[in-house]
Amino acid sequence: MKQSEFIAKVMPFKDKVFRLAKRLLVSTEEAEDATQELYYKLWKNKEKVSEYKSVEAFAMTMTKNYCLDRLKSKQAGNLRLVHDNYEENNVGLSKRLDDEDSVNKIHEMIKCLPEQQRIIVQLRDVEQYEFEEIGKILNMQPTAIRVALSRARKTLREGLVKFHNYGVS
Amino acid sequence: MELVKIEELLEKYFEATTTLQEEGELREYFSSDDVASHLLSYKSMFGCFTSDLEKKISSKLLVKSMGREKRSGRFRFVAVAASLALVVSLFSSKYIVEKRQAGQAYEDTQRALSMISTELNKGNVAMSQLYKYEEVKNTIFKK
Repeated sequence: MKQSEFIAKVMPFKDKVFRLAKRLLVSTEEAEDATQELYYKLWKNKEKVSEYKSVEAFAMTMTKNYCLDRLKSKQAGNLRLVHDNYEENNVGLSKRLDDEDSVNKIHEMIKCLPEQQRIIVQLRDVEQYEFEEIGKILNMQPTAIRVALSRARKTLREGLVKFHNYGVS
Repeated sequence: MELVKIEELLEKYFEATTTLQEEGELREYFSSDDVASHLLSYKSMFGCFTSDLEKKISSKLLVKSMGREKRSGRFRFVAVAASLALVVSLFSSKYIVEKRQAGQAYEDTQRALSMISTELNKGNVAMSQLYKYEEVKNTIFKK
């Protein structure tokens, strides 16, 4: 496979990979490293890549595995808490001041979810994948995904309700 | 959109039985400005999902990572060639030095041997003169 062909095939989902990595690793730098690592691996195995039916699902699976490995390793243990650099440049400033608190709160709550639920929320609510696609990526049954997703969404709802009733949780 | 329908969709949403399209409707509703007050707490959640989708990686990084791979491949070839050349030259120079040393030793021994043979020849000449004395002595004392 030529380089241009390869780029055309793998570049469209680079942001999805990055966002999934960021959701799991939290730090932007770590997520960038993970994305680079993934593309490096894909590039090394570029002959195999052309054989896969869905390169995207394959890449997302690899990203997930890589990030979970990183989280397990000691190195990432402290990064998880230290780097917390969310940037919301795209929301208007006045709105941003109002929302900032609750947006941060939501990020915080998502961070507290179990890793698998975090991945599912990311893939479904942010990236808007179909359940079958998520099933392919995580190697799970769609019904199991539904259960996990429902649990995650309800946890978020609980947190939100608490937050809005008391201002703290 | 009717409030009843939104509430219904929300209920389904938390059971994770909504389709992508229905979730899109919810997202749209919560991005508008007139959200019912008792549902306002969900607004930030859907807003958060939408704004998270805007996060992008700078493409420079990725191009660099692929360039890095290519370059390192070439460097690896150069490194292998260089180390190979070094090893070969080391061995060949050692061989040449050994050969030269052997040649020198050979010459030295040859010179030493030829010296011995000339000295021995001198000794032979002297000895033959001694035989002459013996002959002369014999001829004198026989008579």
